[in-house]
Amino acid sequence: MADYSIWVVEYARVVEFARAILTYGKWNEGTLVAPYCYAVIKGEGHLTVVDTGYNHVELGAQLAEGYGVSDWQPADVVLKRIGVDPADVDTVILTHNHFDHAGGVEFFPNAHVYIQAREVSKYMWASGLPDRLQWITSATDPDLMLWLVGRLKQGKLTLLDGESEIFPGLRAIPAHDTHTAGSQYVTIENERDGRWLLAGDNCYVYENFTGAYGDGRFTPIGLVFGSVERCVLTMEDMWQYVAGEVTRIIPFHEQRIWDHFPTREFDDTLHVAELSLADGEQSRVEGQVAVG
Amino acid sequence: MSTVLDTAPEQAVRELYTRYKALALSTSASLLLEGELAPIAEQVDALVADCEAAGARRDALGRQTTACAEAAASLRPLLSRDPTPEALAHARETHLRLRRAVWEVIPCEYVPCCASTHDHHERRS
Repeated sequence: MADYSIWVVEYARVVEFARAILTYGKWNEGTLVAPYCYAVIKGEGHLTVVDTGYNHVELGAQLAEGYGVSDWQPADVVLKRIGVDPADVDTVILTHNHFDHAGGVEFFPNAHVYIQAREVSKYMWASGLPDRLQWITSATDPDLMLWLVGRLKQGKLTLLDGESEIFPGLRAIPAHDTHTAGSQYVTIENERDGRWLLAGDNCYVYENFTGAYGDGRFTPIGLVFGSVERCVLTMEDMWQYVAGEVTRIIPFHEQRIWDHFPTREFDDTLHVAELSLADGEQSRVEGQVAVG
Repeated sequence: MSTVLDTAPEQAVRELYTRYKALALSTSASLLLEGELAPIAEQVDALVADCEAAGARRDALGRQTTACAEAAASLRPLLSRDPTPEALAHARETHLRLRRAVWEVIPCEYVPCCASTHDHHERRS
């Protein structure tokens, strides 16, 4: 077992995010604030990010406008808050290739990138389908794929075929045919404080686990490119991993993260939550780090 | 392929762009997964020819069809199996140029753009 520090950094938010997207079936039930986050894991001699945010130019800006994203900050700004330089990040694990998770890969020029091969192969399959079926590919863009080719040529890309231990105690777990064809989530097993699970978009909010109306029935997310059934069964796998302790599952669009963990709010109102601190590691949320 | 020549200019751009995107995704995915590239080459050549034919129409959206021809042609050097960094950079550059040009005449096609509440027709003015 290992000893990792884990932070969740907020890099943007949607102030009015349709609840029906966050929780399946919540039609016409208004909106919630949905943060846009990724995670930083430090330990075992590595600095890893799980997802990357997006770059607010070109397609990123276009999509952000469509969703109503505000308060965006680039990786160098938000990571400085925990004393991390993006150039020092040696590992990127992409939970899936949507713009708000994978669109910031270029912020991490020295990182080895891990993504499920299925996230690539299914797009190759879908791109050969008739135009009337291209909604399937409508959340991906060739630019990221071309970038991944470049990273492969540099020997800095691994296409995962199923479950994989990236570093001791840090695993990528496939969640295929859920939110996307080749989604994955990340588990961390800390000797000091137990299990953590970084969900990607395999859940958006805790409510997906506690039930849309608090009845404890898992209610999946509302934007599914794969199978809703697979989403629910994947949530069961996640729930089992943390033995039902749902706050050990970290959804990257859940604003209540800030209530559950030591958190610092910065001048631009974005947050950093500190999930776990390895032995000898200083807190980043208690004012030791100068903010940009 | 020739149906492109029989459609309105905006529709022609949409069809060419859709074909280009599919080929760009196929090309990059094939390079990543060591898939077959030869069938893609034929389609790339056909697309370049169709872009040029569409661009020759009197009412053509010339900037868009030219950008599509350039972006498609930039895929050709990638089909060597071991593309140079320069070829990859050029493919990305022409892709971005095409995308910008296309969005001047047809709506952004990505999720969530088409699920958003803005009026797509505003973009055409």
